[in-house]
Amino acid sequence: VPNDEGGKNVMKPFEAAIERLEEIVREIEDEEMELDQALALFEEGVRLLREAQSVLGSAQARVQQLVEDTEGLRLKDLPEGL
Amino acid sequence: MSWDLFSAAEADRRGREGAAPRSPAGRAGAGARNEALARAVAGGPNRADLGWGDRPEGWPVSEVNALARELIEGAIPPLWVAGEVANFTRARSGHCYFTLRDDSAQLRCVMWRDEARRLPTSPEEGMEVRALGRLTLYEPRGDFQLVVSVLESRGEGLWKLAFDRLRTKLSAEGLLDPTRKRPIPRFPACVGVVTSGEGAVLRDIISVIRRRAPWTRVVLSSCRVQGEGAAQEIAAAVERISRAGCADLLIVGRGGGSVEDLWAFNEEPVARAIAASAVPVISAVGHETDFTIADLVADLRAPTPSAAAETAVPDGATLRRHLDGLGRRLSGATALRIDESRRSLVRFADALISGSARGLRRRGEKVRALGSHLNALSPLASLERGFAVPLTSEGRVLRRTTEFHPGMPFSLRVADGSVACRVEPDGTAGEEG
Repeated sequence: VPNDEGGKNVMKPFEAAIERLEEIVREIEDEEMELDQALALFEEGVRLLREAQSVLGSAQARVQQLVEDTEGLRLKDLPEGL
Repeated sequence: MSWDLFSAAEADRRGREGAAPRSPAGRAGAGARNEALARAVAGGPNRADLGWGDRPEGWPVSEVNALARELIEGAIPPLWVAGEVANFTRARSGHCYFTLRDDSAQLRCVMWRDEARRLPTSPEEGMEVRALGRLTLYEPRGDFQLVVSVLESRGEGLWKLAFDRLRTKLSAEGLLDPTRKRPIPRFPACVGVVTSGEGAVLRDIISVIRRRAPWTRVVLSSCRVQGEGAAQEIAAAVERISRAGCADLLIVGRGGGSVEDLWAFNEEPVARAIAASAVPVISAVGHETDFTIADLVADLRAPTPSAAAETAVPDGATLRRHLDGLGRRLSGATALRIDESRRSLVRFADALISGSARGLRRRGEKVRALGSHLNALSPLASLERGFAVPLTSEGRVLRRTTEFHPGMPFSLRVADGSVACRVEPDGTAGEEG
C-alpha cells in the first residue's frame, strides 16, 4: 500500500529530534565541556527545535479509508465533514 | 429467577422467526392424507370401534404419526420450556441435539444449524436453561420433541461460559501473557481504526485526534461490528490494515451495546487477528464496564473509543510546552557556559595584569573588554553580531596567535555557517594584536 506523505517517515525523525534535543540540553547543563563544544551543541539544538515545531504546526488530520478490490489494497480519502 | 439477556420483545421476535406458530386453518388443510383417521379421532375417545370401523386392517404407523404431529403442532403455540440440559451434542452438520429435564421428566430437543450458530457456546451438562421452541413429533421415529429456536442460560451463564472457555484456550497458548504486550508508539504518524464506517465511534476518534495531534493521519479499515459474521469481518479488517503496513498502531472497537451486541469481540477470530497484528493494538469495546476477550489480547485496553484515541496520540499543546521548555533550558544553559568562559578570561587577564608586564596590561584590558562583551550577548546573538570562531580542519578552536602558521588553512564559524580561510603566506594575519 502506498505509504504516501504523512507516513511513518515523518514522526520517526520527530521522535528522534525530541530525544536528541533532550539529550543536548542535559549535556550542556550537566557535563564538562569546552565552550566551542557547547556552542556547537546549542546550534544543533536550535535546529532540532525548529524542525520539531514545524511538525507540530502541520495541517488538519487527513482521514482515509483502506479498501481492497481486484486491484489490491488502496487508500481513498474520506470526506472532510467527518 | 431472572432472564436478563434478552428483552421479552426480542425473544418474541425471534420466536416468530424461528418457530412460526401454526394457524388452525393450516392444521385443517394439511391433514387430507389423514382425513379418515382425523375424523375417527374427532368422534371422541370413547368410540369402541376407533381403528376398526374404517380400517379393519389397522391404521398405518405413518398416518398415526402424521396425525399426532399435526395435533401437537396445532394445539400448542411456541413456548418457553425451562429445565436442565443433558447430553448436548453438536453434529457435524451443525445441528444440535440435547435433552431438557427436570426431576421427573425429560424432553428431546433439537436446534437446527442456523439457530445453533447464535449460541455463544455449547451449554454444560446440567446447566439450567430455558428454550423457546415449538413442540412437534419427529415422524420417522415417533419422537416427541421440541424444535428450539432460542436457548438461554439463566443470567449470563452461557456467555460467561463461552468467555471462560475461550480465555482458557488462548491463555494456554500464551496469547494473554503480559510479556506479549507491545509498547504503544509515542508519536504515531498514522493511526489505523478498525470499526464500523457509520457509527459515532469513528467520528469520536477523529475529533480527539484532530484536537490533540492534527498532524496524525487516520486510516479506517471498516467492518460490521455486530450480528452474524461480524467477528470474521472484524478479523479480516484487522488483517487487511496490518498487511497494508500503513498504520503505526491500531484502535479496534465499537460503541456500547448489549452483551449480544458486543459479542463479536469475544470470538476467537477477532482474538487471533489482534494477536497476529503487525503493530500494537488498543482495544476499545463498549463502555468502561465491558470486558471482552479482545481487551485481553490487545496490547492495551482503553475504556472507551475516545479514551483509546487519547492514548494513541500525544497532546499537541503539552508537546509544544515541552519544546518551549527545552528551548529555554537550551539557551539558559548555553548562556551560563558563556558566562563561565568570560569569568575565566577575566581571571586570566587579572593574572596578566598583576604579573605587571606593562606591555601585557593593554592586552589584559582587551581581554576584559572582550569578556564583558561576551557577557552582553545571548548565544545566538554572539554569532549574529559578528562573533566568529576560528577552527582548525579538525574542529579545534584556535586561541593563540602562535597557533596560526603562514599559509595554514582554517575555517571561521560565523552566524550562518563556516567560511574557509588561510593565513597569509607571510603570516601577517597572525601578527596583529
